[in-house]
Amino acid sequence: MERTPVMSPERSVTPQQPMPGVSDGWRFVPLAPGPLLDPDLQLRLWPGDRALVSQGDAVGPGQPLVERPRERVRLDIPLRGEPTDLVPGAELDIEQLLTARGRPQVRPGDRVTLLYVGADRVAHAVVAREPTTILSPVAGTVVALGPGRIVVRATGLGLRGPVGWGRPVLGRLIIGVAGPDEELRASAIDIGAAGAILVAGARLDIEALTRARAIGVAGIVCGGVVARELRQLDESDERQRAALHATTPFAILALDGFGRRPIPVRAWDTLVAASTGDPVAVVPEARMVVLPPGTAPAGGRWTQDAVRVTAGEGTASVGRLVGLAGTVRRPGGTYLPGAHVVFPGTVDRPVRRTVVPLPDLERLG
Amino acid sequence: MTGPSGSPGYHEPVSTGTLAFFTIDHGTASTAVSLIAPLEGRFRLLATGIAPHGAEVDAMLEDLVLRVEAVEPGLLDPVAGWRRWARLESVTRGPRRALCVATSERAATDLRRLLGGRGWRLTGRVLGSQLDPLDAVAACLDPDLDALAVAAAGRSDEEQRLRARLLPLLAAVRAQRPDLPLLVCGPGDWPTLEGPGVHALPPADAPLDGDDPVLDELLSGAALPGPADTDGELPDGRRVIGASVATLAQLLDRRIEAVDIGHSGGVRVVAGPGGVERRLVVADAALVPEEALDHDELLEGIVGWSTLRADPASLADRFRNLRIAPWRDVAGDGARLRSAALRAALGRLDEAWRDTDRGAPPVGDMLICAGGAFAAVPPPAAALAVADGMRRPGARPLFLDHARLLGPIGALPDDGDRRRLLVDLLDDALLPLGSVVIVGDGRSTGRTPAMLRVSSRLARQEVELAPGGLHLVDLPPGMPAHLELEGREGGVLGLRSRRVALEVSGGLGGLLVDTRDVPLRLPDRPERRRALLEAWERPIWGAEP
Repeated sequence: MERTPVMSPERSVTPQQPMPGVSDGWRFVPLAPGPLLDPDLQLRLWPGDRALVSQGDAVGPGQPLVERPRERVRLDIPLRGEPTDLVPGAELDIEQLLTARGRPQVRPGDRVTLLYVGADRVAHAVVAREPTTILSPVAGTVVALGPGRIVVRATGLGLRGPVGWGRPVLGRLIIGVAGPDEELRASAIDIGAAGAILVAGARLDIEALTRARAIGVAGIVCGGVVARELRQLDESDERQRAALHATTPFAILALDGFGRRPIPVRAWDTLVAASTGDPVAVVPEARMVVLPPGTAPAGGRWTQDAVRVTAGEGTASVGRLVGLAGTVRRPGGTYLPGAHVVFPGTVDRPVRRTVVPLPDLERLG
Repeated sequence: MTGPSGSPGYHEPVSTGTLAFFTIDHGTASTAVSLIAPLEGRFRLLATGIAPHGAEVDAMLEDLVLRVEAVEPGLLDPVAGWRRWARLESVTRGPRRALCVATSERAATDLRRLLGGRGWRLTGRVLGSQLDPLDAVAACLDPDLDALAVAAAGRSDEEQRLRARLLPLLAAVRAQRPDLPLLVCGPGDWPTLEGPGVHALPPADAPLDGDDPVLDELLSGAALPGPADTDGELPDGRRVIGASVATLAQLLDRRIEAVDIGHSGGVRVVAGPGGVERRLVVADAALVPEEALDHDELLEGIVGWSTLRADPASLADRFRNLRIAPWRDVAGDGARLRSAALRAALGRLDEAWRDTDRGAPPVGDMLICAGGAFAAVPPPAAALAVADGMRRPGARPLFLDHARLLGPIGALPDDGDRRRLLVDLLDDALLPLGSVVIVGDGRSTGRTPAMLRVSSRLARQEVELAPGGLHLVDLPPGMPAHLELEGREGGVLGLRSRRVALEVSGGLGGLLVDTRDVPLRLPDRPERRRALLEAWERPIWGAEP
């Protein structure tokens, strides 16, 4: 809550005039998140996973990164004697376990990793069965590898979003909508998008999501996604796994939140710049889309006072902040600091100047 | 007003030309700044401002100076050196994450109280009594953990057996993650856990009452390794707010209660003239906790307070977006959205407050509301949120720390400095929100009407209060009123007496008289629930578009 200073009549200001204060009001507006150069992608490692690379290794797109079992089974092995070479996290000799009696859980091809040796001299281990390979979705360098995680420093530009779903994918980028605040309809998705990463605008409904997945789209990048639809995808995957059907990797990354959210302008500009280049990667676990090196980062075309409306009336409009408006009472009874913003005219609408709450703005330049 | 002796100052040296200074409260969602300067022999709050996290702090400070200079030229003379003026700063950080490793349910519950009551987020638990080695190792090696917290419940034979089951697990995790700190409650119970990275805590069932500076220092994360904070050594706002409240309690010789709901957690503190009596910092009491993004049950508990008419999935997504971008979309429906989230957050904080109780929880004579969540709703809605989320029969005057001064002032290391400053700033810093009177507990007054008589210089009202409702009396800020309550059956305000008279004061939210049940009983069916909430909110939002 803020109280506006009491002013004498000769110094009073009308709502049309900027308030006394700093003239470059854009400094009150946080800079919109933009692309990150060579971002770090952290992937979780679970007991039984095996890294196929070492720290410092250079990796390329499609290169095997981690061996991950489809099934993990706990194994308890009573020990005889006092073995001293048992190291937590190390692999156990499968041959010895296969020849031991009473170990029906271990089969040829399994890998067994020691978890730890209990106080009762029982070695607790995990049996890793039916290995699958996690491929690196990006080119980069392994900068950290340890229990629980692997971190790859990707070469290129990263766009981070708050919502990610699915598995890492790689594909060429297709801009599926004409603008960042448009919605992608199911009927607009055709077979030409198979294997691609589709930029879907402000959102896409479950019908469009299902169609995209059915025709083999590798991933979706959008502004917002409905959480209920992610739950439906979860349930669909669960059913397929229960039926022992292999699911094709598919990824969704929402760059601005849940529901219908326009793609932030700086992210949109960067995606458009990347759409004619090399394949891009979507890494849902790291909530990031990685664009190839050489993509022109966004921001150059914007002046410092360029702002975008992120919520409320005129969401996604871009204008120029021309001054602070002081504290303004808004519908709902709240008092918010505001700014005068000039929006450019269009064919149907003249240039307009309006007061927008500062919290609903982000700076582009 | 430099930093604590021996530590690097967290602001530039005080200039000699002026005693004007800034306060800055760096929140996780927004930053609040104020300009304070001597005026007619006392410090006054001259200007204040708030902007989303990420705005340039220097621009905000410059704006304060220019605004004051525009209104009263020469008041701050000289203003050219404002960049060198002293800055009192506090910062709120996101919660640290720990995995609870405990021998038994009881020890885990105590550990949750100890760490969960000091702002930590417990991501899960591993119990010696139900140990699955595979799940336990996977949980312990989570790369996002800041620490493992370890506890036992005594030294009985059973506890020792369970401890012996956990020790090899902990040794294996330490061998693989030597960088992961181990917080050991009651280190005497765990004699083999020692060495670098092992931090001793009191036993998990130690009382939470009062402040323990050493423990607070450790659990605030300052002593633990972790990602470098860009804000350096700024004091933790959630910790130092207790010092401000304690100083206020000494000044006013009353018991003061403060509640702060923000983006990354909630704080509740009660202090008397003798100091802080209880302080609780709860990560789950954030306006919308991070866990709500993935846990539908937690989110449903928030959505259940909303009266907005939208399909449930869209409404839930709006609350999720409130977590992702808390500063956006405050106007219009956004205020109602925040009002619902605030009531739910206060309810979670109140639940934790009662859960930690080892006797009757201390109660303040007045309540100060602080934090960004209160600033984003109109005053009557803030009063209603307190009535809904912190239900206790009685009357309490409410104040709002509108400029978020309590954190930065609490960062002053010297109690005398704090006292001198708060004496001067009391009227400027605390905005009267009004008073909340919760008439009964629903067992007596809930069935029959009660009589309310309010007398003030402005008017005299006599109202028959229907049970199960809210009555809003328009009582302006600072206006005292004499209030008489008469129950037809049984006592009122939690007392045995059927007739009670008391003095109350007005505020921006007026006087809210509440005859609903304590605790509230809400229908399970969403439509009925929303209809009831709408009826209760009508006097609050009635005047709003």
